[in-house]
Amino acid sequence: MDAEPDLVLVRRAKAGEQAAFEQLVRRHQDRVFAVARGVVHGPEDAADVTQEAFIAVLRHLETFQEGAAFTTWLHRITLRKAYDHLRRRVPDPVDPGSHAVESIEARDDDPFATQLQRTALLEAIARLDPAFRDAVLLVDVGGVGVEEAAAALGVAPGTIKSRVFRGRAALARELGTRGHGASSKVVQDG
Amino acid sequence: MDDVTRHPDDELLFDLVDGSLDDERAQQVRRHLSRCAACAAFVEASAAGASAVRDVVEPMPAELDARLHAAVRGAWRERRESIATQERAQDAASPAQAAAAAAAALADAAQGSQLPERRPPARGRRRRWLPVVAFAMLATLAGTSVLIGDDQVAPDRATDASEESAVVGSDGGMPAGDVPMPSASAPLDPAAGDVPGANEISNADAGAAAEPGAREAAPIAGDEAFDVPPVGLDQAGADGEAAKAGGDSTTGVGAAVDLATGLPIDAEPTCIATFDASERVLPTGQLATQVYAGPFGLYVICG
Repeated sequence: MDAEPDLVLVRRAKAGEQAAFEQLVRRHQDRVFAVARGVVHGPEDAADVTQEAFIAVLRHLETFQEGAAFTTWLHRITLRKAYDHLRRRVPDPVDPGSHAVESIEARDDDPFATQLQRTALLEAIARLDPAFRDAVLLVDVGGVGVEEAAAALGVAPGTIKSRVFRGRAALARELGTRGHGASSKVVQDG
Repeated sequence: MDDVTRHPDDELLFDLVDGSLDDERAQQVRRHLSRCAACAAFVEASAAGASAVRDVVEPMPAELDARLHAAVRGAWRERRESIATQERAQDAASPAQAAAAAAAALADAAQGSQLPERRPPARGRRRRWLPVVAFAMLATLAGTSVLIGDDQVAPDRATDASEESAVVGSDGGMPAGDVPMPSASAPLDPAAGDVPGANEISNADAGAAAEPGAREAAPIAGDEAFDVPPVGLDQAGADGEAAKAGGDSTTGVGAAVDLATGLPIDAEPTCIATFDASERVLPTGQLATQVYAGPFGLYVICG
């Protein structure tokens, strides 16, 4: 089942196979979680959004039309749930502009430095213009193709490319990232 | 593009970074970048951002992972129970049994010559919109789907095939046109307790209503239903209000949405029926309190 395409798993889940649906969840949960974190930031909130997204997918499995990619539908739902979550969030009465402080604990498989870097990255993503952020989250984090992201967001593919391109550049500026080997190669080859 | 006063657009630069340009085009763009510091810096920043953002994907922490899968298992159990309930209802809804149920409904309705006052939605109560095949079938057979309150279904109301169809399946398909709504063509006289249609039940109608292909709508509880559009369709996000889905720029704030298809409903559906004080239990097990007619069929509001 690990190698089966999403659409096959969806079909099997529709037919009542719980294992097929759980496989879909396992396959996509990390990206969904990451997309959610790009909007809501904190891991607990992102986990809630992830849960809501997959449960919504399950409840509406019959409405999924197989002509499109499952990931497009899934991540569109994820973005929607994430923004709903943001709208529902009750601001801190003492400091309405504050965000919950995320506690970082070193783990063997996730060193402190990596977590700090990821936190900085998430904060930078959160500061992006929403149009850029959605495009970057879908394409670069969710792994959704450009055409599919365009369909999901209701814009032309060229617009997605522009938003992703500019969103990435804005992200790099936010992070203070300097060019490295890969980017130099882009410019210098030929 | 060797002229540095003319610059490649974002799309071209995206394709370059993405590696999807053909060799000749890529060479052209790179030649420009070698002479244009601004574009080169832009591309470099975008490539760096692309590399950085991939780091945001990480395995979910174990505790959150466990919570997610527990929730998914719980949701699957609910789905299984819901499907089993629908199947039991479908099995029970054979034509003979439906006719008997319809007769019971007629007797029930005829008990009071006066129709109950239309009850406005309770404050603070979430209205749940459910396209209900079983209810529509009952309505069709009994001819009493429309116990008209203050607003009769206007006889001159546009009744094209899609509006007259009373079956709205959860698969998002348009209702089957085989199940006519009696209300549009047979206005009722509440004062006289006249409930036409009892003698007009046709085998064809019953058969069409009960055909295996006519799927019962899965009861969908909660406003999150409005958040989930079928692929390719847009839909406003949930805002907690019955049939109100707001916040999406394409459908507009406050747009009502057809639950089954995800398509926006342009006009507020008109309440065409109300039940008596004891809430009606539908074959699906839901409690229905009001019925509305929308552009795509009947909608049942459950308390």
